[in-house]
Amino acid sequence: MVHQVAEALVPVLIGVVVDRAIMPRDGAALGLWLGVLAAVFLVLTMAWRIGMRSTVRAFSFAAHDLRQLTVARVLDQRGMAHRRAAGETLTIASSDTNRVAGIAWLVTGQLGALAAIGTTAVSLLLVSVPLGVAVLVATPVMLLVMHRLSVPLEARSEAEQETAARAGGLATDLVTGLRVLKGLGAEQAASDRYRRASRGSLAAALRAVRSRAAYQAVSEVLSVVFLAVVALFAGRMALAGQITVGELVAVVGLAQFVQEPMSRTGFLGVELAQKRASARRLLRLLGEPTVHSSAARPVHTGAAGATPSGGSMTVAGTFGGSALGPVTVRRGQVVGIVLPDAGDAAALVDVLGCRAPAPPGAVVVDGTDLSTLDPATGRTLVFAARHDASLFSTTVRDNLAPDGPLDPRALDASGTTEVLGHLPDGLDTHLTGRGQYLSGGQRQRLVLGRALHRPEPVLVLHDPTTAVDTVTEARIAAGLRDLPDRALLLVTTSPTLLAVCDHVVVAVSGAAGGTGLDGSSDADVELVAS
Amino acid sequence: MSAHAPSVADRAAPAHEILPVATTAATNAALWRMLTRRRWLFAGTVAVLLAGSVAGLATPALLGALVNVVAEGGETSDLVRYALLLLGAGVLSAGLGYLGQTLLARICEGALADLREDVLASALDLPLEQVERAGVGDVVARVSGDVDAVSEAISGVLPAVTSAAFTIVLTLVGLGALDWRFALAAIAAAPLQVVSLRWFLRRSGPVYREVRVAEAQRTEQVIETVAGATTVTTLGHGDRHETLVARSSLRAIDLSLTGIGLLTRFYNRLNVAELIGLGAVLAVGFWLVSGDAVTVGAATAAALYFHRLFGPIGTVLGEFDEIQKAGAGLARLVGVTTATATAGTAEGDALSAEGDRISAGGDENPAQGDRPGPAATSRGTRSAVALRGVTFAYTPGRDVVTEVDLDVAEGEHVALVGASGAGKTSVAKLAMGIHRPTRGAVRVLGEAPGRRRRAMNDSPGRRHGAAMVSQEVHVFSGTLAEDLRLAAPDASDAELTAALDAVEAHWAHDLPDGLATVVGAGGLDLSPDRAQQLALARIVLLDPAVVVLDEATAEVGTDGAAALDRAARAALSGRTAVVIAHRLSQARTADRVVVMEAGRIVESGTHDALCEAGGRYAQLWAAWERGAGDRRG
Repeated sequence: MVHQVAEALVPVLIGVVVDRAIMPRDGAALGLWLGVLAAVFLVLTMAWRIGMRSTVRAFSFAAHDLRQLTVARVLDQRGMAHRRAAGETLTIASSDTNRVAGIAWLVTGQLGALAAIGTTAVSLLLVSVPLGVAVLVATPVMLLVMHRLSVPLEARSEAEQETAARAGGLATDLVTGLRVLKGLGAEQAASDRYRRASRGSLAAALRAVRSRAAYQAVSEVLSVVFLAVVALFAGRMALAGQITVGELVAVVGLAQFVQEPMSRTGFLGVELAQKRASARRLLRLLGEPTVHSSAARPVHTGAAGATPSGGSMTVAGTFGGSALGPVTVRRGQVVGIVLPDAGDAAALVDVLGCRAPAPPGAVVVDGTDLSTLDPATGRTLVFAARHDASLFSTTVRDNLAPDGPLDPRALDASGTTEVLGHLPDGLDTHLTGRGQYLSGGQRQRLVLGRALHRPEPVLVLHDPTTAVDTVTEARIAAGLRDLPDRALLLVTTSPTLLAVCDHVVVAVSGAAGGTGLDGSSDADVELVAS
Repeated sequence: MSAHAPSVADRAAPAHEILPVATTAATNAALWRMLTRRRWLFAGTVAVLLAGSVAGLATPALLGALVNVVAEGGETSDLVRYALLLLGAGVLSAGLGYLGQTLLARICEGALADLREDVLASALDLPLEQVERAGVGDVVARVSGDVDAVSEAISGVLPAVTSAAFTIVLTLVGLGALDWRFALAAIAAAPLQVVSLRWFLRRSGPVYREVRVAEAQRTEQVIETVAGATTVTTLGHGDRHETLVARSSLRAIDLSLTGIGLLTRFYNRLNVAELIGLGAVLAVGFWLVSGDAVTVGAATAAALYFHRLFGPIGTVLGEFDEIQKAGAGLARLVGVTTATATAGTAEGDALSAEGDRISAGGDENPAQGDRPGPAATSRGTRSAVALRGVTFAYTPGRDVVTEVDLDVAEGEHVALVGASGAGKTSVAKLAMGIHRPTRGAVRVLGEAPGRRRRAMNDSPGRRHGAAMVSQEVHVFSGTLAEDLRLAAPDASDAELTAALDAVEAHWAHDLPDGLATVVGAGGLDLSPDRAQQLALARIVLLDPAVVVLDEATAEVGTDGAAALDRAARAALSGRTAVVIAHRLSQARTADRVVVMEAGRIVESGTHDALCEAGGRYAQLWAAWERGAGDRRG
């Protein structure tokens, strides 16, 4: 604000110099007033410096705090009732937090503009009351007109950004699917498609530029009207001897200067509306109800926990459209569950991994009903990752076992050892882009390797070998068979994996089926129909 | 798969393999070409911008004249005349400004659109091998990040800087027209401005780069945490990731505050320069008015001129950094287009050499040789795919495919079986011309594979060429029809539906908007088996003579796997096919099974023959059967 006041004083001082020094040809006055000008500049520049730095600080830390809140909400153990697409959450966590924190810029910018307009008005009032009043009257009129104009402008530039984002997204998407495109020889078709999107984006950009230029032109015309009127009246007053020449100079200088703050204030409404929209999205995310009802939470916390003697789990109930009779897996056993419907299998694994609430009594771990535990405690008993679990952009070692030593048996059993042989720095290889440049098979084996390093006594693996070839799958199956001291539940349809299970349970959806099962020699197989 | 390992190695040491970055000269040449393509528009724009700036400069001159009228005790009518002129000049300046900005946008945005389209087309034309080495990430970064950076500069900064530069130059001219000594006084500010700018750029460059890197890391960390949120919570690593995000965020803030510190000091210096300039102009005005060399009005106009310069000078100097940044992005973009040009010629040479080699040795001596495990065709006479003594290594000395001879007859279905790293995928990529053999020769339909596929691009005649369904499943974002039309741009809706029906993708009928349903990123998420059916439907539409199928379907239930096997059979019927078997059920239905181990073919024959022979394949099959028996009953 001080900065803007000082900025507004510069034209006043130009007028004063003309009045006191140039007109009377007074050298000493010139020196004096140039000194004052220097002092105003000093204030101006220091005020700007302090204002700028503190605004950036306020903005940065506000954005930081909002971002942390968002991330904390996303990572809440209790999950989210309404799951958003990753892209949407990302927009909220990055753009919306920044935009809401941008209120810092809005406040300082608008306060500054108001200060500039205020200083101008006061200066003019001091010169001549009617001129000052003219500014005070003209300002709200200008604001209203500019605000009217800025609303459609905003819509256009939003449309521009949207088409640009769409074209950009398409380019990324096409390049990401480059291998597929190359396989089809569809490079030309893809590039044609992008060309169309790019032309659409161009048209929108030109429309937005035209709106912006029109806004600017109108704003210039308005201000020149204002300037001409002020200059005419001030000139007449000066001719009549009511004000001095220097005051006239100051008046026209101020009338020129005040244009920019006025047009800036015209954007206030639009900016506020934008920020409100972002703030609403942010609040909705932060206030999202949890998956697990809070009533079920506190019952058993602390009472349960991994005990050395633990490691048995019984599952029974309906998951998706498939019903499952009691299946028990104990320490040292490998049990397979076959759910013919992939969606039902995912639903079961989500319940076991405490990502979805367990029906009461459906899952019992070491005598404790999983539905009575809060998710954090449940997860100390059972580890059940999703089939499509992610890797993280850090070293392979940190991905596999960030807290403890590596277990060579787990590395061998999961086929990770083989993967490491192909990586440039073995365990110290840094996975860029969340390992998306690894092949599906390499990724899957690392994810499996990570699961085998988990300390939880019950381990649930969901289709852990879909991306590896049959030979490797057979090797992994054998490795899992020999894992010591674990209760291992395989939710899979892979024959190779099921062959190493002690016990296989097949859930059949709908009415009781009559599928007989002849297991391998050491497997005890049962059929559970709903 | 071993085939992917080199790309990881290259990403770990990207300095050696990333796509080229254009030299300054090449970038400038590209810019010049873009401008000359629009030279008349360009000339018109310059004229309009000039006229607009001249009109804009009339304002202070007229104000000065108005002050003169007052100082010399003129008439009110003079005042009215000047006020009207002021109005006219202002309206003219605003109108010309509008015209200039829109014309400039047409040039800049048009050139930008051309550039981004060229870049994407070039990126798509890059040989896959080169892309794999550079990493898909590098290409994605260029078509998205760099295009964004250049767009930002071109649409946001360039117009502002251009008109500011015009204003500065013309204002100096205007000052000179009042009296040459005013221009000299204004230039008194220049040395400090130049020194400050150099000071700022020297320090800000590295800091800003660091800020961008830190902000990119923060974004990456947020993306990683949000995209992997389920995994993070399942692993119980929530706190750890919150800390990681916080740490990267605080680091970015720290750096950006350093940057702002520099920026504010830079602007402080600019303010001092403004003060010096304004003081000098006022002092010169005082001196000249005292000497009766100029009028008070002229001195006023001079001071107002200079005051008007504050904004434009700030714009030009302040955005210098943005322009430099855009220059760096532009060099990387132009680099992609030059990469294709060079890669294209190199590949052409290699292919013709290869063609010569195969016609010299290959065809007359069809390798029905005496190698162990003969892999010659089991039926048919002409081989659609032929590999002769093919050896291939990603890095010299580490062969992943060794001395492979393989002939696939027209219409024959061959299944490749073997462990990861046995070389199956490499053989498939060699057959597709994605890799070129280190030794030996490859022919598809009698021609070198890469060339054949290119020819197919030129003339979209069907029943030609080879296509590959890669292990990677990608659903292109957009409507379902747009996705399918990538394979056959001219196909009618009825043909698209027929292709979907052929691969049993009956679910497509139930989609909310049918073929117009938006799928892929940002749209309807298709399950892996549906995405795979889509890939097969594209093959049906493309209708190639040879198909390499590297389909590894994840996460499909028992019913899903059986349906996909049927879909694949439908898509492959009547074509020559090389199937990389991820399920042995795929091998069983093939005409011939080829077993690979450590880059060599170790067994080849029909499923039944190999089972009887009791070798490697027989063992694998027995293990598979035992498992499958559990469910089949």
